[in-house]
Amino acid sequence: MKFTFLLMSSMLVFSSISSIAAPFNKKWKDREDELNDKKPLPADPSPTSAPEWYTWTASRGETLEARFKALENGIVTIEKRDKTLARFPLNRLNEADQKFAEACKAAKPRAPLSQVVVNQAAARLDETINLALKANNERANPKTSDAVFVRRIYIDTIGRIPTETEAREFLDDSSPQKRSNLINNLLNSPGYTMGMYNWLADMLRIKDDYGKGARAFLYEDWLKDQIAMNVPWNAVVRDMLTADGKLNQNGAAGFLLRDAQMPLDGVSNLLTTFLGANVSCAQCHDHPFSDWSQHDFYSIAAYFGATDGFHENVFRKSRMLLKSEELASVNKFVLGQILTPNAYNLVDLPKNQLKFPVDYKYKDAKPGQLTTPSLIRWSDTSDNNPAYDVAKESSDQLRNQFADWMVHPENPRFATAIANRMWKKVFGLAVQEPVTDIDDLSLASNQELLKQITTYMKQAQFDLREFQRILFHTAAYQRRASQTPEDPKNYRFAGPIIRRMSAEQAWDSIVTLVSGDSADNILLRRGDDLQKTVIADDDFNSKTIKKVATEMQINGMRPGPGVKNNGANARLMVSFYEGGKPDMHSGLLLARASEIQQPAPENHFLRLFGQSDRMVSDTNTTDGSVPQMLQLMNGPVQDAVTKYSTALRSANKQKADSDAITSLYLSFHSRKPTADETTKAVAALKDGLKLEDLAWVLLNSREFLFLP
Amino acid sequence: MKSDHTKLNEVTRRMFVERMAKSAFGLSLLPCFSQQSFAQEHNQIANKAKPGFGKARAVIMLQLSGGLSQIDSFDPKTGASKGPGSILSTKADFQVSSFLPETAKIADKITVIRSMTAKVGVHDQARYLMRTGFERRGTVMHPTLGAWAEKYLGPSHPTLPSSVCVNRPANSGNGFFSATMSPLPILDPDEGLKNSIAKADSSVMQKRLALLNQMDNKFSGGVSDPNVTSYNDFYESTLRLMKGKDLQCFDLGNEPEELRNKYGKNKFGQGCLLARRLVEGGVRYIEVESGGWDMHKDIEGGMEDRGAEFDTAFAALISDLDSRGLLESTMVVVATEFGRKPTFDGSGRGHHPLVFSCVLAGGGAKAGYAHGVSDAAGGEVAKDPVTVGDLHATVAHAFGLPIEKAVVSPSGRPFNIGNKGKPVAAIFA
Repeated sequence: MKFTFLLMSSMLVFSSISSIAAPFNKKWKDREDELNDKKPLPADPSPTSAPEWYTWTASRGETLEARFKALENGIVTIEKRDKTLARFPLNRLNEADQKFAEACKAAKPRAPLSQVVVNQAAARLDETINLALKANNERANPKTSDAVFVRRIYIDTIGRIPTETEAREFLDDSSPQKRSNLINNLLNSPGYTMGMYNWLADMLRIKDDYGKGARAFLYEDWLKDQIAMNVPWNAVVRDMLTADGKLNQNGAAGFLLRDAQMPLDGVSNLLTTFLGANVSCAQCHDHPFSDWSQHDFYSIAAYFGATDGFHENVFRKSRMLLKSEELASVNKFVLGQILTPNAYNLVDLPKNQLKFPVDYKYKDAKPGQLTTPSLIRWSDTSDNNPAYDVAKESSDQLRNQFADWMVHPENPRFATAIANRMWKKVFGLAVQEPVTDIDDLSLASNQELLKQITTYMKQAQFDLREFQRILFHTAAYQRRASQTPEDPKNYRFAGPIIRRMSAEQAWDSIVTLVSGDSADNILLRRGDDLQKTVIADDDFNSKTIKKVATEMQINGMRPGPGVKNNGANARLMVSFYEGGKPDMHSGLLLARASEIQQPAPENHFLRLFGQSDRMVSDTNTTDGSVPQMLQLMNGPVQDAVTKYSTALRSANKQKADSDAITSLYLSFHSRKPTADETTKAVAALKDGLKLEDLAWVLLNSREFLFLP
Repeated sequence: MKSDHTKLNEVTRRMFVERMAKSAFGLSLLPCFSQQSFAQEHNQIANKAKPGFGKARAVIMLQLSGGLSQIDSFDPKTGASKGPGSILSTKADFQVSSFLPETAKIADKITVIRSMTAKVGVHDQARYLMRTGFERRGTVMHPTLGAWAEKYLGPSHPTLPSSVCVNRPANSGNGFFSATMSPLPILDPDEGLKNSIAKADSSVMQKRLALLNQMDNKFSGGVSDPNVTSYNDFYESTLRLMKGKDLQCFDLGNEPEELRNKYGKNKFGQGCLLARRLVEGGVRYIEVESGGWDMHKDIEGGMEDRGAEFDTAFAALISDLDSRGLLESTMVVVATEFGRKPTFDGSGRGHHPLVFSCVLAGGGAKAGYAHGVSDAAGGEVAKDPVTVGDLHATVAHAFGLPIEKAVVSPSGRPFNIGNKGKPVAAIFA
C-alpha cells in the first residue's frame, strides 16, 4: 500500500516547466515574448521564510513547540521559539510525528518567490487589467485607504480582522513598502492555514461525520498539514486521488471515501471541482448544452471503476458486532468509532468493473456493457498534449493514471481551474464565472488574463501561497472595491468587488474581538486516536474489538467529540486542542472556525451566516437573513463582545472618552473614527450609553460585515 | 376547534388592520398591500374560469431529501419490484405500502401523483430542481415558489416573513429576486426563532439603535452595493419583528403536549407542527425538510425509522389542518428528489428519477385521488407523466400566480414559474 507521505516526492516530476507559456493570440504577441524573455519564475533560491510552528510529541508524551528544519541521517532538527535549534534521533518522536517529520522533509516548502519576481508578475497582471479597462472606456478604481487595505488584507490572508494593535501598527507605519511587508508577513503566519482551510473545506465539502461513527478527523488533520507545509496543489490533489487505506488510517483517503457510497457522484464532483468540467448532467444523459455525452462521463468514471471504497461486508459485520452481547459492556459511541471507519477502505481491484447503466439509451454503447477508461478532451485540447501521454505511460493502477493526467501542468484545465478559483478568493469574482464550469474558455471576462494566471500558476509550480502573494501585490487588488456587477462577464476588475465577510471570516473576527490574536495558535487535532482503531478484515471479531476498545478507553479516548448532538456540547472538544485552550464565554467555544466542528452545528453563528452544510461543493453563501440580525442584536455573540471582549477591555483602559472611542473603532473597523463620529459617540456616552453599547453599535453596523 | 380557528383569524385580521394603519406612515408596506389586494381581486376573477386557481392561501412543502422510494411508500408493487413492506388498503381507492399505516387512514384527503418524472439522478441537482422547478445552472439561482408568490402577491403578513424554511438553511431560496424574499430558516423547531428578545433595556436599546442609524449611514448610504442595501432591509424587518407579538407563532411551547406527541417528538414532526402554527399566523410558504431518505442500503430499517417519522407527522398534519378548517386553503406537498429503482437487491435501491411519487393535499386538490400510473415494475411512467416543472406550475396555480407571465432576471433572462411547466388540471376538485 502506498501512503501519502511517500507520494509527496512525486511532485518533483513536474518541476521542469518553466519554459511553458500558454498560447497568446496575435495582439498579445509582444507581451508573450516579454514573458518568455524574462522568465521571471520560478523562485529566487534564497529562502526567507520557514515552515510553520508545530507541537512535536515525543514517544513518552512530552511536547515541544518548534518548527521543522531538517531530517537527515535519522536526525531531526527543529527550531524553537527562542530561535535555538534542537536535534534528536527520529525515533525519539511518537510514531505519528515521525511520519510527520518525514513528510516535512519530503514536502519542504520551496523558497518563496523573490520580491522582484512578485512585483514584476503583479505589474504584468495590472497591465492586462488596465488594457481591458481602457478598451472598454472604464476607469480603474482609486487606491484604497490604508484603513480599508489593512482590514481587507487581514481577512483575505489570515481570515480575520486585525486587532487594535495590529491595525494601529500598520496605520502608523511610514515605510513606503508597508503594504508589501504586511502581505508577506501575513502569508507566513499561522492564520494563513486557517483561512485556506476554510476556503478548501467549502470546496471539498469537509465533514466530520461520514455516518454511524465514521469520523473524518484524520483527513481534516491531513489537509491542515498540507496547507501548513505549503505542499503544492498538484501534489495535494494527486495524493487525494491515489491514496489507499482506511478512513482511520490514511488522512488523504478521506477525500475519495467522502463519496465512497456514491462513487459516480464522486467522479462528477472531482471533475467539477478540480477541472471546472461541467459534467454532472452527463452522469445521467448527454449534456444539453456542452459537449459532454453520457459516454464521456462513464468512460472517465471508469478510471475509478476498479476502486472499492465502502465495504458492505465489513459494515454489516460492524453493525452486528455493535449489537452483540460480547461487546455490550463497551460504550456504544466508542464502539461505533472503532468499528465503522474500518468499512471505509480504499482498495484497488485488478480490473475496472464499471458498466454502462442498464437504461443506457445511446447508440455508442450497449446498456450494461463494461466501460473502457478514456480521458476527456476539450474542443481546444491539442492532439499532442503531453498530459495524455503521461497517463498512458504511468502505473498499472487506473486511478494513478487518471491522477497523473489530472494534475499534469499541461492538463487542459487543471491549472486554469485552480488559478481562476484563487482569483475569485482574492477579488471576490472569478475571471470566468462560474468556477465550476470553464469548459468554454471564450466565456471568460478577460481571456488574456485567464491565460496569464494559468501560466503563473504553472510557473509557481502550483504553490498557492506564492500565487496569492502575486495577486495581493497587484495594484488592482489594492484599489477600492466595486459593487457586484450584474453580469460577471462584463467586469474588468477595476478593483475587487464589495464582499460581505464569509461566515468563517465573520466568526473568526468576532473571536479576535473577544480573545485577541491568541486563537490563531489554538489548533484542533482529533485524528490521532483514530489510527489505533485500524483492524484487519480477518481480525474483525469481538475479541479483537474488545481489546482495542479497552486500550482506547485506558488511553482516554473520548466518545465522539463534537459530533454527537451536532456538537452541542462544545466542552467535549476542549481536550483536543494544542497551543492552549480556547476561551469559553456566553456558551461559545472561542476557537477559529477551522478549529471546531466541520461543519459547525446548525444553530451556530457560522451556519446562520452562511457556512455550507458541506453536502454540496461551493455552497457557502453571504446572503442576509433575519436570524443573522437577531444573532448580532440579541444573541450570544453580542453578549460575549459587550461583556468579555479584549477590545472592550482595551477601550476601558483609556482615560479620555475620545481615546476610548478611537480604540473601539480600531478594534471593530480597523480605522480611526472621523471627527464627526467621535462627536456623536461622545454625545451618546454623555447621554447615558456606555462603551459596551458603542461596541454593540459597531458590531451591528454594516461596516463590520462588509469589505468595501 | 373550528370556532377557535375562526376566532383566531378574526383577531389576526384586526391586528393586521391595526398594524397596517400604523405602518402606513412607513413606506415599505403600503405598495405591497395594494399589490396584494390587486392580486386577490385578480384571483377572484380568474377563479371562475380555472378550477382550483387561487384556492391555496398557504403552502407547506415537505421535502424528503435523499429520494423517497415510491415502491416502498405511495406506489407499492408486487412481483420482482416488491420491497420489504407489504401492501396496505386505505380509506381511498388506492393502496400504499405497509410502512405508511397512518397515512393510509387519511388517504381519503390526499392526491397521490404516481407519474412524476425527471432526468436528474444526482442529489444536489435533483434537490435544486424540486425546490425551484429549474435545473441547476452555474449562472443563475432560481427562486422557490414562496419567493415567486411574494413577488406577485406581496408580503403575506406585515411583520412575519412570507416564507419560512424549517430544518434547513435558506440556501438562496430567493433566487434572483431580492434577498429580502429569502425564507427565514428555523433550524430547530423546538428552539423556534432564536434571539428574538433584546437583551438590553428598551431605553438603552433605543439609544443604541439611534446611534447605529447615525453612525452607519455614511457606510451603508455611501455604498450602493445591492448586498449592503439588502442588509439594511433585513435590519428593518428584524426590528419590526422584534417589536410585534407575532413571535408567538414560532413557539411550540404554546401547543398541548398531546398534540406535540401526535406529530412525533422528532425534528420533522415538530417541524410540521410549527408549519401549521405559521400558517395560522399568516406565513404563506413553509418548507419542512426531512433528511436521510437516500436508502441505498437497508431500506427496511430506513422506512421503519424515517418512514415512520414521516408517516406519523404527515397524517397528524393533514388531520390537524382539516379539523381546524385550514386544509381547504392550505396545500400540503410531499416532495422528494427522485424515486428509487424497481430492482430491490435485498437491502436497498439506487436512484431513479424516471418515475416517482409526490403527494398534494388540500388547497383545492382532490381528496382520495391517485393521478398518473407507473408501469407494472414501477420503472417508468405508464400514463399521464408529470414533470417537476408541472408540479410547480400546479402549486403556483393553486396559489393563484400568473404562470404564463415571464419575469426578467437581473441578467436579462426571462423565467416562468416551473420553467413553463403546465398545471395538472385533473388534480383540482
